[in-house]
Amino acid sequence: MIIRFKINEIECEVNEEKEDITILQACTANGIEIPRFCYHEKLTIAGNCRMCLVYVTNEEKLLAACGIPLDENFDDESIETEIDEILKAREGVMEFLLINHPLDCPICDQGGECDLQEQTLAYGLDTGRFYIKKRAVEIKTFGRLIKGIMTRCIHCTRCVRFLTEIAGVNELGVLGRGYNMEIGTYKKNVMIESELSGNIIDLCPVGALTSAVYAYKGRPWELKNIKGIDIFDTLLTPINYQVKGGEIFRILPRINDRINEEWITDKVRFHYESYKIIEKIRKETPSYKIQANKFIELTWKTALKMVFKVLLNKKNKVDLIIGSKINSTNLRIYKELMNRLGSKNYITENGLMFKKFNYDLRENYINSNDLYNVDKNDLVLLCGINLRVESPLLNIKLRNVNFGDDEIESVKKIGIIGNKFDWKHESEYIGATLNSMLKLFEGRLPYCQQIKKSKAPLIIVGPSLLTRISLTLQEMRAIFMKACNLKPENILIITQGANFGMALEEGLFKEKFSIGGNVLYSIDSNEVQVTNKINYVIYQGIINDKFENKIDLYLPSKHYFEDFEGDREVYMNTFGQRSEIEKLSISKGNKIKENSMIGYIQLMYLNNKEMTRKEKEQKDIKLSYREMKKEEKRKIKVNKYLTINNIIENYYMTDINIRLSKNLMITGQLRKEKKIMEAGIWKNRKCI
Amino acid sequence: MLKKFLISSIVKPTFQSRIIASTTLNGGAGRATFCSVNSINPNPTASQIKVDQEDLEVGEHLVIDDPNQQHIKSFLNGVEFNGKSVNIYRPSRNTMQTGTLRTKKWVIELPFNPKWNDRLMGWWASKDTLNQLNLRFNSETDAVAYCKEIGLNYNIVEEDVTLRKKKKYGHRFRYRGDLVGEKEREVGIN
Repeated sequence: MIIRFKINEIECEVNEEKEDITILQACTANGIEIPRFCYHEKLTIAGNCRMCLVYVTNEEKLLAACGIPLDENFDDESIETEIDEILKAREGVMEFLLINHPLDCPICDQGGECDLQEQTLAYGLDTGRFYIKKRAVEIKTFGRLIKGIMTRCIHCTRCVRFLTEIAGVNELGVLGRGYNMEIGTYKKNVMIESELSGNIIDLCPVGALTSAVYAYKGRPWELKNIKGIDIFDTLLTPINYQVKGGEIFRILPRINDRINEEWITDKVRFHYESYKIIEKIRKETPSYKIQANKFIELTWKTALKMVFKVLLNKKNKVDLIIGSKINSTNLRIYKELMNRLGSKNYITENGLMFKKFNYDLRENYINSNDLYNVDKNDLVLLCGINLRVESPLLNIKLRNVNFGDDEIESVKKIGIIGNKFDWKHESEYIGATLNSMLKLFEGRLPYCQQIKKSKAPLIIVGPSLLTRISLTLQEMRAIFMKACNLKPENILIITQGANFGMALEEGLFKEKFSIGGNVLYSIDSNEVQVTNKINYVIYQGIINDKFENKIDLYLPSKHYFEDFEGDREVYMNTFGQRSEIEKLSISKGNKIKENSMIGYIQLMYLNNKEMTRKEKEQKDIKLSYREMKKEEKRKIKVNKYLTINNIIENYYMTDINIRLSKNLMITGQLRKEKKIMEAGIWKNRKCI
Repeated sequence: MLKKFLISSIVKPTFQSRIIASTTLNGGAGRATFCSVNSINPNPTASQIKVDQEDLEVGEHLVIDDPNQQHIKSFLNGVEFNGKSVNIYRPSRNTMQTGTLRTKKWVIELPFNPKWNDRLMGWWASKDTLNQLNLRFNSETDAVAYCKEIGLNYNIVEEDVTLRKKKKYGHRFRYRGDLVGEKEREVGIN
């Protein structure tokens, strides 16, 4: 049935069967803006602020626009949003909200981007009539990252809905009734244990929840937006660096409903203070080690001569390891450099953990699954991945039971192969050893029948599984497709690092790589272990805390968001989606150069010699594990009883930019200690 | 003078009054010598001021990363920005707020030139004054027409992807599967 109605004399029509739409969504679609406090586009409807009242003809009362769907009752009706009766109602709502709201606007961090400020200016009174007493609530602590001045709270419950529905932790709630109503935790001094807890800072329409790291630092009209990406997540979610001068003041999410909707993780939101520390600590000139802790400062000409001597010496065997933040232009340059030298030992940092690759077919490493449809799968099998830690934003997508059609079951079936983890969801635990994976490959698990019966299954393979089975990505997909009758869009392989897809796109990987040479040439990779076989280490990057003592020659280069020529650069995630970043220059020294410039100089020097690597022939696809087992018995060695341990132990220790952030480090340590305390208490309960 | 002359002519004898009249003439000659002082220029030129050597070394602590990048030609004369191009985009909504007033116009953003850090004072400096200039237009075609008229290179930046969700009031009270029973939490991860 087609419903025809009017909104402020604008004629509209909605097909009721095809669309589910509310009054507020229809108004925003027509460009009419209705003020609100509790409604948010990505959360469920609460309707408790009563700010979005509209007038509908033939109705006795004003209606809340956020919660009322447009159905056949609205046929041939008209909706008004700015008549005097509505303005009087909004004026009353603002007056009640401002009875207990403190006059903190000059000192509040939300000043300049506060919803309460703007709607008071538009709809509120100029004076108050209530002078007897203002209520005050004590300041609450939710951890190191969020500052909670709850006197300013207007109880819109956005933060409560976000943490229960999306983040999956039930730590905030509404306490008290009426005049004594508060939002907080039941116990005092409770830290919000979620990897996405910083998003409630964005959701709060007043300054009750603000960033503790950004406290009293700046005002929003002073800051300039520069586009960036989340370099710590494989989804490469778009973010905005907010910059003043040449310094990063804070990081906010950028809206993209295909990837992250409006959320970012706490890693990327609060890690920006490490850049100020790095700029103080780091060396700004090329330097060469004489003794254990003594370095000579060199000019770039002298330093590059030393590099050429090492690279051109035929006795040296050079291993090139490229960090996981380097963009695709630099990957191409250094691949060409090693090809000119005749060496084949070059790999990225996130590719070191894998045993086999096959980079010929693009459909093997680019997941053809669209992230927008991930929440429509009704059965998910997690193989060797702690999804909450390794990809928190994909975890949100899978947990999403808030919206959607009623015909689909509200709770998904989730199976886990690997270690147990704090999932906060109903899940079936299958096994922790590789034996259960082999049974899955052969189709002998009872869970395989459930996979075949389901309409939209999804299998997610994590990086800790790929390190223990010597299969290529292509072979992994083929086995799953045959064993469970799946399509390529039902298999999702998650890797680590930002440039894994780009490295495969550039053809960087080869089948086997091992650090066996005597020279290590590391380009901004921090997580590599340097063995005693290596005599000489060239480090070209920013700062290093793992093998800083073993560096012989240091070449300073720039951060990943200033390490390109021109104004913008494109990154690509494992779904083939591309995100642009803009140039943001924070390096102060003259002698800090881009990685691309250093690579170009080395290529120009080696321009006389031309050597190209022969391309390998394409291998045939082997469809089943049984056939592969017969043909290559000696090559594949799998320990059946080996457990699939998750790689990441601490969420806040995975990168040097996070290790140098003081607030994130303390948050990670507090969570460790809390787990140990809870374990002790739990054991005591068993004794009692 | 007249009063003095009249008084002296009445009281004193005639011979002395003649002597006084001659001295007044000499006084006039004295004023004439005073007028010659005004011929000196009271406003000295700048070249006559003594300049210390230290004053010439004030600006040496500035460190400019790349001086060639600081030079921008004027865009009003239809000249390129040394090959750089202008961005045309529509700004997205601020995630801290719900208002969408600033997201309805298209903005021409001039190229962002790098700044240098003054190590002595601690601030960031720039030679360019066009960083604060943002031209706003009602539609994308108006912005493109303006760039073509002046002769600027332009890039059209893609807008953010926003999709509408299906919403009902009952979605708030759905079962999410978390209340089956409190399970024993494992220690070891986070």
